Amino acid sequence: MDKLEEGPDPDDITAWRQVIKNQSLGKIQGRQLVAVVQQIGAYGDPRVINPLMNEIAERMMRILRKHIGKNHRNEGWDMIEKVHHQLIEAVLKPASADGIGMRTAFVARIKLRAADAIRREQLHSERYVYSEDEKQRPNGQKALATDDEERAHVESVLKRISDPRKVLAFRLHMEGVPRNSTKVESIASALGVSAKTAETWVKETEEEIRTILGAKS
Amino acid sequence: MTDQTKATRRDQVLFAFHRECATPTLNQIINWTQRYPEFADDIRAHAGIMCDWAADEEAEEEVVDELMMNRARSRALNAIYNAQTAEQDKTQVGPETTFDQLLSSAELDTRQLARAIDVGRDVLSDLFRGRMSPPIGPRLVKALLDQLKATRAQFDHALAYAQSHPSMGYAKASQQPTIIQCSYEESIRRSSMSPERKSYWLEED
Repeated sequence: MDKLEEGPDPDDITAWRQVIKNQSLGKIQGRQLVAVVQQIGAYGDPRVINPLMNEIAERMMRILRKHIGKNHRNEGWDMIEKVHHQLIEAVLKPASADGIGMRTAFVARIKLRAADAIRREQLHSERYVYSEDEKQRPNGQKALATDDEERAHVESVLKRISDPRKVLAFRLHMEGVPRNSTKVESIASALGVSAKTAETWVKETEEEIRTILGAKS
Repeated sequence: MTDQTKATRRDQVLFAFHRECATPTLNQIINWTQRYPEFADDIRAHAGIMCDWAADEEAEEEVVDELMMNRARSRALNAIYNAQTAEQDKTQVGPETTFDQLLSSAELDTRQLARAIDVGRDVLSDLFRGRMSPPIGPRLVKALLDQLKATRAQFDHALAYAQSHPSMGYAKASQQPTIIQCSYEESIRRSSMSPERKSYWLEED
């Protein structure tokens, strides 16, 4: 995506009218759109405030859909709509934490709330697993043609692992070199567990991946 | 630390973590969990999610269907409506809700205001002291809103306050002080204004 622009000064309503007329809202930074909405307020000219809020709402929706996967209940839509509602309401509350956050760093704030929603689901309900998918998965997968395919498959395996700490341990294990005992201790320290546990988690995850990818080797 | 303060602080720390470490590395996780041990579990959980996202980064972005986009736009319109309602409520229960406060905000007294809009002071006195029953003539309302720089909601609230706290008439030896109510028209007609001004205030635009 092209780099987004700063856009006119939030006080310059005439300039914003022009941006709307030119259908150029999509080129402007999200945080700037939020700042101008907060500057104008809910009673501002509807020909300005409505298109701005629509642009923010659509952008927010795309970011949430990208980050909340379909491996959640109702393909993640329940979570997406809940977070979307919370955030779009906060846009017009300039003093609220999310209102301030979105005019400071739009995407980061939405990602924070998306991660919060995923975390809440991890804590309060069992991870939703497509049981049919599980059954369909045979012991031996058909051979994977390329590294990209293999990587995609590893990702799909990681998505099925219910303990997110194990997934993170594995990812950190795969990150760069060296992979020695010091690295295991670092992973343990990052995850707040003993070196032995960290090592077990990495090994278990590796085993699981190896089993599933068995047909390739 | 209260629960609310802790939640706020947690949000601040995690927001900063998201801003500074889009794809957290091993060292960053160690660093942040050591800096904020009280939020270490949250930091680790978010780091795990962020690493999952980074691994998916190259995946093609999914198009959100029109139905869901319509629902998103509808929530945006609701948010505007809700914010307007909240603002109105705030105005209505705000501090500038009596005529005395509105006058004070506009840096006027009754005499100056009466002169500015050329209305009898006795009429304003009836209105401000809760003796004049609504409805109030539209010309007078408009002139007052202009001079007091007030919204209709603020005016209505001040009027309601005046009505519920009316000034009593003078106490007499023969009877208890009473509240003498009058209509807008009665107040204008009994005023000391000239007949032309009385007609002006009784007419509508």
